[in-house]
Amino acid sequence: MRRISLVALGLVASASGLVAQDAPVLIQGATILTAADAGKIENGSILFENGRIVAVGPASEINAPSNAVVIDGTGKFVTPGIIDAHSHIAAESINEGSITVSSMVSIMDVIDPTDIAIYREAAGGTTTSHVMHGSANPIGGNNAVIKHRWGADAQGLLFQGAPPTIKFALGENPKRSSTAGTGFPQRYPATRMGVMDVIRQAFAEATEYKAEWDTYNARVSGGDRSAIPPRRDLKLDPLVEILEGTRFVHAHSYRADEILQLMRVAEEFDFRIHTFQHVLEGYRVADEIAEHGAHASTFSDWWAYKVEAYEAIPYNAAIMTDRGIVVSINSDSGEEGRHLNQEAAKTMKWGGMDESQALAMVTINPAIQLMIEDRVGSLEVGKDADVVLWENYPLSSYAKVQTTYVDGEIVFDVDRDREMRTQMAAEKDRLREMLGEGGSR
Amino acid sequence: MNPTVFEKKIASRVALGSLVISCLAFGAPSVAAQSMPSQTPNAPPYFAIQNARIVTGAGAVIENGTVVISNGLIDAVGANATIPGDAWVIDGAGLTVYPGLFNALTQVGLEAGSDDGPQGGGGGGNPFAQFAQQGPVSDGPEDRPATTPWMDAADMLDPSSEAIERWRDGGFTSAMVAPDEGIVTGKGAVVNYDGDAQQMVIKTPAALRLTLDPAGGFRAFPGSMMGVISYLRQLYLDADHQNTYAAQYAANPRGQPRPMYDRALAPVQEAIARGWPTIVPANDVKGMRRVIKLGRDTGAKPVIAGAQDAYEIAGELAAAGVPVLVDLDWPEATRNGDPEAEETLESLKRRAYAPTTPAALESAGVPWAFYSGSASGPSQVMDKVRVAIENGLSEDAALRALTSGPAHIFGVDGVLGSIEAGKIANLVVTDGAMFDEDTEVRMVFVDGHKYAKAVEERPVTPPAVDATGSWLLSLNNDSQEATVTLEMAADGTLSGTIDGERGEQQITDGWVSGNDFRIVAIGSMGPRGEVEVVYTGTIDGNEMTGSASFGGRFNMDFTGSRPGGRR
Repeated sequence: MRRISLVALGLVASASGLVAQDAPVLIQGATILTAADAGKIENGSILFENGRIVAVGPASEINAPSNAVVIDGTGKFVTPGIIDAHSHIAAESINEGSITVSSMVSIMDVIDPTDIAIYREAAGGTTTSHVMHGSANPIGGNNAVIKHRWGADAQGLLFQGAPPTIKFALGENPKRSSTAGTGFPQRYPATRMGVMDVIRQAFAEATEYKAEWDTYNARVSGGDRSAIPPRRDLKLDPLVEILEGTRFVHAHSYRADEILQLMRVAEEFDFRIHTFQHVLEGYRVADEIAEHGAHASTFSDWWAYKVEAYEAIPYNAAIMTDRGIVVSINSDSGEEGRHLNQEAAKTMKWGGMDESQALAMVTINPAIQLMIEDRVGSLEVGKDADVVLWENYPLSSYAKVQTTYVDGEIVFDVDRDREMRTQMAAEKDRLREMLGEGGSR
Repeated sequence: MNPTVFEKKIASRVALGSLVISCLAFGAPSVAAQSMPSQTPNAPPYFAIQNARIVTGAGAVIENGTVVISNGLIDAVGANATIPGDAWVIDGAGLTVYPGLFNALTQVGLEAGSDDGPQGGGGGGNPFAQFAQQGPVSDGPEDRPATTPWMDAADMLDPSSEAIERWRDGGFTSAMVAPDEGIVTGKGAVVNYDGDAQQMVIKTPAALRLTLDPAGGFRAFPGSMMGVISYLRQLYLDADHQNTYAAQYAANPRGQPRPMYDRALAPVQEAIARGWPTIVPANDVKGMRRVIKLGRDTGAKPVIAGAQDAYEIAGELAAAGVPVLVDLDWPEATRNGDPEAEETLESLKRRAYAPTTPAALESAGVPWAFYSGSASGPSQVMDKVRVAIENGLSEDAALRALTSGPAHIFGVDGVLGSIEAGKIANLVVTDGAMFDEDTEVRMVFVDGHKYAKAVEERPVTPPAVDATGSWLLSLNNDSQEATVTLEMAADGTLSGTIDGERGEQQITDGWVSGNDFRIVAIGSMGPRGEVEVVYTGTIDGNEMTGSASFGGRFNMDFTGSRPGGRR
């Protein structure tokens, strides 16, 4: 083993990670799809600095500051960073599947900042992801909203200020249809009725728990110093937050009947399902979903992978949109998460969505569903500079990302990626040399 | 440290010292002597090692000085320390005296399999093990899954363990031992490798040990890493709540339901209140950051065990004030892996830079110590320490990481970790610098008891026979044969070779005294590595009989003859 120089260590550290943009960046003369009221701007420019969008509009109206990095956007396209409303990347565990209510756990505790999917999805234009607990139980764990700041640590990935969310799940997964009879003991519930019972029981318990705390808080504020605080219950705290409207439910669902069931149970306890996930039969109960006030996050054209997913149609997103629901297209996968632009584009073929409606499915709509639309999801002055520069038309099979910016910093660049591959190969050679294994390959 | 435990310890040590003497005067072996075969018999309560180089670990090296041991404690150390009249004086010329080595985390000294606690929802070492047969054992945090903080390593000691002797012979006199099964595995104790189970204990509890092991899968809570973390949060919250409730109830018990007894909580409450070091495993950067955060969120005082990638975040660890136990078992390339597989950059980096972690921690000022990890013995530990030294760690710092470093982290630096008057007499005496490859441990003192390999106790009786010549040995009733070629010096010292079924071995040490002889050689155990083989026996003319001990693991009797006679 040889001694290692600190210079070499420094090189390693800079080989990955965020590339700081000190100077303002101006992308000039591109076609800009804003996903905002401004719509499409032909021959447009966008200027961002210190992580925020400073100007966006016709190229003729935006001048480059003297210190700006100017990028020629001629023939290219700019969109907001893509937002994935349903992801399972960058987490060291996904399911606490042992119990029926696992609301004490949180994906935020197990964020894995080294998951290469963060980078690969950024290479497909994805800049924000809703990393969700799995669907093993009726009430699952708490989720995390992250930005694809490749190179940052777990805390650094978290989307600060994003309202807290939680996963619910209905149907075959929580009733363990696929594990019954395989040697695992059957865990309650085993039916859709049971799923609703678990949720109802949990909220009955949470209501009682909330009352205990309300009583205690009233005694304390009334000057009673002998009041003993109730035990904090990390399982029930998030459910109380749901009741109080400070934590938002994203419910995995497929069938129309279970969607209606869950809305009724929620209304019983006077809260709303914030977003139905998957919601493949949403087209059948779109009016009811709209009336309840829920959003919908679905797949473009993926179904029939299990019995409850047979009755799907590719027009689902378009129909729900037409009925006034805020609809997003999600990935549920580290692979799909690399081309959500194409997934969104399928709604143009299958449902007659126009360009801006389709783009909204993976930008401003998921931003609304995650309640972060004042920060991301469209290209507007003051919003985060989560910006994608495409080499060609983004809603196409041939779409290719040139550069992805998160908070104004480059997280992916196609030329830099090529350079990094060379650097990494050289770095590997150097390390093998250092380990005395240089000749082995 | 809890002073009462230490005071009791000292008191019993003094009492034991005189007990040993009185027993020995009548020829009765003491308990300690029975369980510690290599401990020098007839040990007096006083020793003085003079003319030695003394690396005290507290201040300057004494190039030529004396250490005086009295009843288990260091009585004096210095260039001119006074030697009591009745002390056993050991000539330390050419020798170096170091503080005894301290393994910062190990199972050596614990009974094998002793942490299988009670089964069922109330906790247990590994309640998930029997799950397949028994159904779910834990439905949530309230079942306290895999939580056994009441288990105390001090109650699980095996003083007769052969491993203790092996590590002690290599210079290890103390260790942090802690149960290792479950999520909250139990309490760790600082022990000395000397005496019976009670005498071994220096401090308990000296730590609480956690793992983040999600053993439950889809079958029992917690079945995921986030489940384990949420469980620990709840457990610490419950401990805190229990505190609050108990205090309020004590002040005003009437009309209040009494606090529920929960044996899982009291040790956790105590750990929070007293700031017990809480050992949590983490080897990579994200894991270490997770542990730092868990500590902040729960009020636990984490000590990270593993930490091989700590070179990347040494400054962060220093700022967080989180001590680190570095696993000495440096990562190696996958053996017998797919030859076509491309090793990842991450894996190459870890292999190249993990051994720079000690130097990085040292320069960042992180409190840290070495532990043996899965290194199989003290000589391997020394090999791994040398790798860290080649990667920028100073020898002084390496020594601290095996002495005062762990003593400080576990709050026993008042009595262990350096050679200072009044501290426990744990010493290791070598024939050279601690980390030189050729250096050997010549003797070890634990609690003032002298241990030395038998080779050091060569009898003074001159040889009565000449062993020189070529001997044919038959081992284990003719199952193996060997040719032993010996050369004997006038004082009885033997040299030569042993040519057996596993090839030729050099004799590393040997002597003849009267008709008795002893030969030490390093033998091959095939894929299991090397073993020290000790042949002892007697010579009668051209015949010899005796027994060969293979690393203390098994013995073979042998007979031998010298067809060519004395040469």
